[in-house]
Amino acid sequence: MSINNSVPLSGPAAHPKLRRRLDWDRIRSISPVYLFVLPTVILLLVFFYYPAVKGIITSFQYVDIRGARWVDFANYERVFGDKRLLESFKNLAFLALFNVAVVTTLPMIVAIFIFRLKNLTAQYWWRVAFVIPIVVPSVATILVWRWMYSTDGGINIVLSAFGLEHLARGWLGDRNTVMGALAFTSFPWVAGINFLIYYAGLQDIPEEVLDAAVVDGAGSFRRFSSIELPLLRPQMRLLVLLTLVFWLRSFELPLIMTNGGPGYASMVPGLRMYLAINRDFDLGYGSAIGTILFLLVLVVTLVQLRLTRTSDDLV
Amino acid sequence: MQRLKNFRHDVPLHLILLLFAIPTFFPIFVMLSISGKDFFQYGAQPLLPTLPFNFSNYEVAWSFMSNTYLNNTVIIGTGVAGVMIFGSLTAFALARFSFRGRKLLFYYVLAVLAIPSTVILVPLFMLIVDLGLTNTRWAVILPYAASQSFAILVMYTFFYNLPKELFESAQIDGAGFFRMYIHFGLPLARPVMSAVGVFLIWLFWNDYVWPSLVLSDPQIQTVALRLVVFYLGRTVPEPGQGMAASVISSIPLIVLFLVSMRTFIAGLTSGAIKA
Repeated sequence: MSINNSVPLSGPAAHPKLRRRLDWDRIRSISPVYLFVLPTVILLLVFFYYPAVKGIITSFQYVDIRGARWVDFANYERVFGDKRLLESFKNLAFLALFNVAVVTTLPMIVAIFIFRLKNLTAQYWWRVAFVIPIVVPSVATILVWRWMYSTDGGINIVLSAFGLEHLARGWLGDRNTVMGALAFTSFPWVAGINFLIYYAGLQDIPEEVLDAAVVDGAGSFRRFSSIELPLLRPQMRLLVLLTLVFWLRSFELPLIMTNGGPGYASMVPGLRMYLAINRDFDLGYGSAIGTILFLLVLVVTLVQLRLTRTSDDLV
Repeated sequence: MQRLKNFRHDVPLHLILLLFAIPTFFPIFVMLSISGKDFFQYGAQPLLPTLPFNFSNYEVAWSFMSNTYLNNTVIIGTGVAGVMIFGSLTAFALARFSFRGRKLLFYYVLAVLAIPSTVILVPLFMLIVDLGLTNTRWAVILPYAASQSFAILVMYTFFYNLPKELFESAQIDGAGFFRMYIHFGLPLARPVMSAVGVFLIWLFWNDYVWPSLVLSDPQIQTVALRLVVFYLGRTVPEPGQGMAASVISSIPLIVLFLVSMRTFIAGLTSGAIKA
């Protein structure tokens, strides 16, 4: 269904009546495809491209009920002049890097252990077991962990069961422990998509490679260091970048656990942006934070495209 | 004999895996255990399960959550249907037809993956306000239906890898775009589409931030939103009731998981492409 765009200048088309019919034919031959992709084009335009541009514009404005006026870089000056907000970028970096460290180790180790089971039925059920926790909505998981950290909650109960009552405290109310508590949430960080991605990667390793290793007398650790680890590198790279983008864009965890508190101790930039809408109606300021996060996500995504290049292979 | 040897090989692995599984399931155990405690049972033994199991907690939580299930069905159903219908049309057009602007459209769709909806939260909120859609289900449905890029990418890859011969005879017969889509595209893509669909249902069911901004009317709130409102609200519920609400909010996903385990796992793994 390629489209012929050349319009004949003479011949039958020159005749007014015939020309009209020919144009109609052309429109009919073009229309189906364009018509069917139109809803997607419009939806993406209205709900992604327009807001993205509008957000950048708004970040240079002050918005209130009477309308918007230009304030140049005032919003950005507020962002970079606010020490507490800059601290919140540190919190973001801590959470992101901590989770990168976690995601490159624990889910992979568990996936490898399961993959090495000789009993295939057991393999299947262990895999299911580490997927199941995903059916609990993240909001519910966060609420349960919120209880764990409370003064009479699960962590303190476990601590006193081991005779460590003196360590017990309100984990989320203490500015020294609150960030550690947020990072510790969903310990041991195995269950879910990360684990599945590693597992899928292991399944893609050709059997001959593993058989050859056995014939060559490679031990368990040698198999890990020379085969599994190098061949899982694409999955690892993908997960590192997915994790970075995830923590750049999401703030559900501090929002529900602490709302950024105590004080500003567990604030992240995304949450500050949310509060700019929901609490302060300070839309210009919120847009400035959003634009900064947008740029950070863009950098991470471009690095990812650079490293994987899947898009070029497909077009 | 071989079986015994295998078993011996597996035992230490099972033990290590168990070590990971116990803390993984601890929060779920806590949730279920506390959800059955009344006020006094919780005071005496806040962690381990106690008898009798108090179903009245579930009644209280359900009376607070019941209307949200219809909202979730309407919002997620319409949103996912939008993605599936429009997204598959676009994916099919991109993968099987050459037309002017095809490559441009491809990048137009793909580039959206670099715009997570939370970084455009402020302007998106302003847009919904300008359209007068706050406190309507459309405020959530439309952005969901627009989140197609990932689905298009997965379906595109599927359509792109179908053998050419499949479509050649149809083209000779003079079948147009829509007929080819209905007769070949859709039926073949059913597995990949259900995987994507299940993934999207899971994703939208988990969404809290966006509905919390635009749905303040309790009558149209979503499950996740209502759960947080109930749990952290002005009149904080008994711990048992809060946990019961958490369990209730998970049940539809549990059912979805049980009836479509394979598809569910395939869908989650396909989510890996999402950037």
